[in-house]
Amino acid sequence: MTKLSRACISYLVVVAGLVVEAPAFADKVERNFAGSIQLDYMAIPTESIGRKIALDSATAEASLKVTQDFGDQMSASVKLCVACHGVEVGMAFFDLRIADELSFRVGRFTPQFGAFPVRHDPANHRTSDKPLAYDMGRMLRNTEWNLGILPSPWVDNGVELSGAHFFSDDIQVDYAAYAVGGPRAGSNSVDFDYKMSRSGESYYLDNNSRPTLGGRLALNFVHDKTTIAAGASVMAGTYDPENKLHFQIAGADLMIQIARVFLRAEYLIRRTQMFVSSDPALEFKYGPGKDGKYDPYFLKQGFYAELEVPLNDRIDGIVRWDGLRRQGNVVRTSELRSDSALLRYTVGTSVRIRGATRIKLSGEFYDFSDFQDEIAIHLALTGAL
Amino acid sequence: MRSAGHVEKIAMWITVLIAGWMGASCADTPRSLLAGASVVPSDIEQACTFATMKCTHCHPIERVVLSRGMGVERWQMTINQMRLKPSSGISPSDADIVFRCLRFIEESCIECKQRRS
Repeated sequence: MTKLSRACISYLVVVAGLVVEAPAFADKVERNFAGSIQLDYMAIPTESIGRKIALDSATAEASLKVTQDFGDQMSASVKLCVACHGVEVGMAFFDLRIADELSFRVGRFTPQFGAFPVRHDPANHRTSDKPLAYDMGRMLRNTEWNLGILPSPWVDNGVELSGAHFFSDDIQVDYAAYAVGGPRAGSNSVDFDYKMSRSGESYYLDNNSRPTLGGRLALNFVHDKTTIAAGASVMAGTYDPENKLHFQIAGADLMIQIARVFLRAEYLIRRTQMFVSSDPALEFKYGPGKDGKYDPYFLKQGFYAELEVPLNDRIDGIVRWDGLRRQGNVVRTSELRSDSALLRYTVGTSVRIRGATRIKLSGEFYDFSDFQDEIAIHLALTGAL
Repeated sequence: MRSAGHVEKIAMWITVLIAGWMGASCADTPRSLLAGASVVPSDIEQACTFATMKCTHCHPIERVVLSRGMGVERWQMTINQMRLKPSSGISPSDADIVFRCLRFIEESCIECKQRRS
């Protein structure tokens, strides 16, 4: 049985489950609306024209979400997101909860990978931008680095199976397994092309008829006011139309909460296969290895560690350290080298003003291995709806 | 080596940051789950402290305050959905405590009742 057939059967099982469950809940419908807005201004005082190295100045991010519950076990959610990329559907899925240990999600959603994506909404995290590993275009030198490891929210079509089991009030284990379209690029590519994931011209479909598979396993331990959550995630597949270029992503995350103080850390690593033509010397900056062959893979690593501390009832302070490293050959036109790194140091604050609106202020110092160091300053107004 | 112009720009932005931070600090009084409630039983106070700790795991507590008025039944469903979010740290008995808090704030919210009727 092919991978494709297995994916089709998974879809059919979920859809059949939704149809069977539907009549029982038809008389009990609840609807809920939520959303958020963030207006962020990023200045790069170390550059006279910041736009040359980043998507600087003002951005507006808005999300509007409607969830409709069909009883306790089934719901549907639709979320529209507006940001630099225009209007996108960030969610359009059905959830079917059979038990704590077994839920199905089918549609367009963010598959479970890592810990940050749960908080990706600007109203749910304290900095204006995202950690580098999950950056979606706001980092400096985003073009040269081709963003981080896996932009968040990663929105894709597919099916996800998940669940949680509470061994006691203190110990919880979560799992998730999914099949989604996966990252995309054209033929003969050397990295993901993120625009193809949000381009109507490329259609919102899998570009190679083979699902990308992934999963997550997490352990949560609670004792009094302390919570420790640790998780591991994987995702793998092919990203080119011919199914020849493979990638694998792995991640580990840790969160320690003591009362209202949070320490969060994540590490992501991606191994990506590049297309090597019959004459690679024309394409790549570096020559073959000792064995005379060109290494077709590059390795990209990303991490962040952040400490979030409430300074009083209204003001939170945040300190973040994050970075990226890319190892492997690069195309001749790239300004990166075979081993490039970026470290970023962020200090910020989030101040609650009226209702659910906040002002976020942060300063970031970028330490590039291949470029001049830079400073970025963010000032944002964020509100939950 | 950075030019004097760059240093001036950095100093200017730091000044803007500090001014903004100070201005925002002078905004209205903080909101909590129990804002506006006059008499709060001690067990509810404890339940709400517990709920704040659990909810802020993934989102600011303002999101909960903002959702007041959705009705007790809807809260129960929402808490159950949140409980099943990845690494929620909310066990079934924790959910009961969170619900006790949210039922209180729902029932003591006069403007929410007016909105519903």
